[in-house]
Amino acid sequence: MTSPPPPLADVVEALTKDTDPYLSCDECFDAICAYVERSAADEGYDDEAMRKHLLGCPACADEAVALAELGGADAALVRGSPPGPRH
Amino acid sequence: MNNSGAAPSDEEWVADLTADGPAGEAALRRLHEILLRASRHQVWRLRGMLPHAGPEDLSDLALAIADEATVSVLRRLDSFEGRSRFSTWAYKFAVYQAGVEIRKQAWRHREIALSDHADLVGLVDRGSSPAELLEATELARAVEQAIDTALTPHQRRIALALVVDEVPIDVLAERLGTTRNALYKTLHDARRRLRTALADCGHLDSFSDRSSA
Repeated sequence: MTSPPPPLADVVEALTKDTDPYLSCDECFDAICAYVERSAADEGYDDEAMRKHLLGCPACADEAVALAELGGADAALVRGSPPGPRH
Repeated sequence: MNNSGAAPSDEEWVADLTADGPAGEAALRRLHEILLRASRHQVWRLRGMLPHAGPEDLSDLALAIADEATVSVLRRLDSFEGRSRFSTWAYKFAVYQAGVEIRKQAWRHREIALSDHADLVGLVDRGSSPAELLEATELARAVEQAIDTALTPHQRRIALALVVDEVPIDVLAERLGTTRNALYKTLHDARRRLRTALADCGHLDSFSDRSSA
């Protein structure tokens, strides 16, 4: 399995992302649930270190997206509305 | 567990999971159920990385991940501080485990050659206009130069593997016998050095707006 090379602009952007203030993947893992829940509850909520880490770490960012989707499905169930597609 | 049929509170989750007898067993079944839901969700999201896996393979994989995540949650139960809902906290173990396992399987037969040199000029879109082509080539050369001169050999190899070759960070960590934390820190430091080097030669402005957005 070989993927096509990524476009130059994406590579340059990924190589030069400003990921300060530094946050490790372990620190992100510890804080990710609260971050996802607070972000879902409050559109204006921000945690700069978490936000920058998620911009710079695709693996952690993917986990955040999955958690947000699961949380959204839970909220829909609690509200009594039909959940999205189930897998 | 409460007797109202409502979802257990966070305190009930923790109390039930540490209880002996039928209450503890019921809580364990509930925990496995929600972790299976989370692992199925993440396996389904990432199924494109395993194009040869059929529905049954994916279902078996999700079950194995839920089993492992159940053990992880029980082992870390003392560290639940109530900063989020218990269910969200538990989900993250299944989501994490699923991501690691799927990326590992997807790269199982792929060799990872750590490169010392970036051929970014080779990534320039040849279908661009002459002016765009010139600008992109200049930028690619500047970034190549910064990679060659501003980074240590270790930073260079890690940054190129993670960003240009798109090797998943946990796969690279496993192959190199290191940790996701250590690789992310190396990439973080490399990025800072590249930004400084490119700012010094006047190239950072051409993409700083996009990267800070």
